[in-house]
Amino acid sequence: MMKTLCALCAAVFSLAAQTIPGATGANWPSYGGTHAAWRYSSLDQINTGNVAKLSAVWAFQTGDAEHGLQSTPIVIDGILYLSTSSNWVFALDAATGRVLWEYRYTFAKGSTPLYGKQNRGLAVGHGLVFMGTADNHLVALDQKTGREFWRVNVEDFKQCGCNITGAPLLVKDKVIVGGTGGDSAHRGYLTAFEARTGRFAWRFYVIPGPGEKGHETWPGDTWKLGGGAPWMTGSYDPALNLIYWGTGNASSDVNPAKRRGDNLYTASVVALDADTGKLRWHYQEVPQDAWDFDSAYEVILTDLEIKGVMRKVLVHPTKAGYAWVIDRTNGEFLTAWKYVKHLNWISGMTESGKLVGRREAEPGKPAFICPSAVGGKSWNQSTWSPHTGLIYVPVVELCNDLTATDQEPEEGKSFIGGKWEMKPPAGGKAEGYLAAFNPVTGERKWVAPTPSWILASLLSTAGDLVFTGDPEGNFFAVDARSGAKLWSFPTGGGHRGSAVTYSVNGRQYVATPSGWGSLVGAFHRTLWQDTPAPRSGSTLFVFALPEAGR
Amino acid sequence: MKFCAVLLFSVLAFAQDDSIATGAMLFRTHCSVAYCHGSAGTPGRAPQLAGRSFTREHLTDVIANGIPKTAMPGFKKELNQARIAAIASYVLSLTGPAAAEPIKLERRDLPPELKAGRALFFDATRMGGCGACHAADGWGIAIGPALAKNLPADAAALRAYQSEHVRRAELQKEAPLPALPVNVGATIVTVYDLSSPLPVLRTFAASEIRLTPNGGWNHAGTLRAFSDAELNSILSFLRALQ
Repeated sequence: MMKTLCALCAAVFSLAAQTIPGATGANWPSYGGTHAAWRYSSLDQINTGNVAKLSAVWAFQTGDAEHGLQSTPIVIDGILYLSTSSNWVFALDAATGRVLWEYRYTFAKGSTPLYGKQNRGLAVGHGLVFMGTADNHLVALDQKTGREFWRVNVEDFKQCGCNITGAPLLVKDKVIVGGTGGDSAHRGYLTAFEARTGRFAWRFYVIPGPGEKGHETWPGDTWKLGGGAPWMTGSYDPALNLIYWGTGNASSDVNPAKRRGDNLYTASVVALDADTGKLRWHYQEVPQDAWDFDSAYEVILTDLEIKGVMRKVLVHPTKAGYAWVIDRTNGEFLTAWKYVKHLNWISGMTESGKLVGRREAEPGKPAFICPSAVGGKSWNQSTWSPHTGLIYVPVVELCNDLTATDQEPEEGKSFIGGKWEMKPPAGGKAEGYLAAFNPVTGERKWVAPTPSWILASLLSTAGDLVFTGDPEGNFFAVDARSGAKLWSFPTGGGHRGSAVTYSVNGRQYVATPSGWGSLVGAFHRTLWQDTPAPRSGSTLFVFALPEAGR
Repeated sequence: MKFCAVLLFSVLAFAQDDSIATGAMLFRTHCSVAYCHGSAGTPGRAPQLAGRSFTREHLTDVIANGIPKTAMPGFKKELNQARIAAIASYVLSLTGPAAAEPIKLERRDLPPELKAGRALFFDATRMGGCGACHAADGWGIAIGPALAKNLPADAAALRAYQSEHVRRAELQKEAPLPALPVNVGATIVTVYDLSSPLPVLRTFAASEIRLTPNGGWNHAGTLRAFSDAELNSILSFLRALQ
């Protein structure tokens, strides 16, 4: 009892101390829940005591199954906005699933996107719904009717070898979007557009141009096609007016021989002035990347007590198998903790964050590296619960043989500089699991094993639940304090999207995309050859308690 | 005898199927790994393979030896001939209609001086250069007209060029802007807003917008980032396309 009470005190303290609003309530207004990217909801109607009774209340089939449903629904005032892989958008009554409007983006003839069609979400605000497209456009739709309001081609996708799969980030009067292309010969960037008109506002190139600070970290012309694509979605702190975004790997991915130097600002987290896009500070997690270790993942903004002092921090789990904890006011390194068991690309890190004992592949000679190029986790997001004080991570234990080869870049074309072959960890097996960590010390509180791996985002709630789905098709909830599985529902399709929770008229709902897809997802059968392949599909399943709200 | 032929045929067919199945497994392990060819030959970061025509000889050579200086590695060190043949069989089996029309990525081979003009035309360090509004040689965004005919004689003429297509749009809620009309209907009007370095396709209610002739728009503003010598180089490239 005493223990429970203390845990409660700590939780209340940790919530009260937050200077950034990070929890969602009735709405799920943006990709990461809020712009702090917690993927945590303060709703607790559904909780550890009653989750066993959770039942499906409606399902919606989009009919767009080509690359599964990788999206994060947005919910505002009882309306749910859902994007699909082929850039269709639906506005649905969030309580019933009734279609209010639908929009289907039309691709120009012959414009089959290079990486296939995939989409991970929308931004909603200013009466508009914003979506990046598989052929590299940004579109704005009327929030009431779904009618197209404006569209802009960010860059010819054939030229840049890039497109948009991530959700845009709406900050004040601007909508900001990054792009893929980190494995192409391409120079990554973020672009901000005026939300109401679509007019260009600013662009931040991940790789500095001639005369800019950091340009000297790129020999010769390598800066022009050196990668760094910021392909996922950033975060925003309104009090500091700073946007935080993780940047992609340097190119060519596994062969840095021609780009000796730190290769700023690839594999970094950057803090940009929200109005101008000017760089305020950066922290580079993987200088001179040689392993395809993107830092493009979620940037969780929260306040944590470190060495007795409350600090405004960001927590940034990247492909490299560490979560970095950085002071978000100035970029100061505070700590980093390993979230995977198998890691050998460096031998360790000093107290100040300096990497020690790099291992990179020599030309023509394979190097066995952990984690793999898939990452210690894929892009599917972690969640931070201030209620339990834990960060939950969908961990992937997988390694690869990297072989570097000499490659000349050709703008927009694949620029990997070698190859990788996925391998299980030495003496172990490829596996995936949910793990709960103390965000300061990295102490692992519990592990929940899964049949294969988890490539769906995690969702935590004040009901002390963590929700996610597996490739085998089950959507399930575990106890946030122990990892014990409390509820599971077979949706039939593999899970590669991001579940959300919201409430309408006092009833709490949990919604999850179902339907396998993505390039990393295609790799599943190689690792688990004896089990049935995850099934594609594109369905949103929505759950609630039978008696709630009645 | 007939029985034998049927049996032989079946065995061969079976062997072929078996090779395709083995190839499919090897393809998943080596070719459609995380970032390269997509599953079942769909586009990944490497080109689409399904629905294209290859010869067995070509496939076998490329799988074994790779394509030098590109992302395509050779596999002859880790895969024996039978396994390489199985992958080739599998790729050859993916010949149904492609999921969608494959994109043409190859651009024409040009002498170095024209390549320089092409590089300037599409200069990514200058927001995509001319390619942000014009398509040429397989790249670029076709907002402005095709550039094959009536090219200006030199840099000065190009800077001064007044487009007959651009209008001045007077709006109820915003300052006037140069607009390229796309669709002028009774209720809806769609135009490219050229006031932005990346043109925006915008939709207005017909009552909100009035289009007047003479947008007063020329290339001078957008071409400020280019020198005369660079513009002449671009014009040489465009003439070569005619």
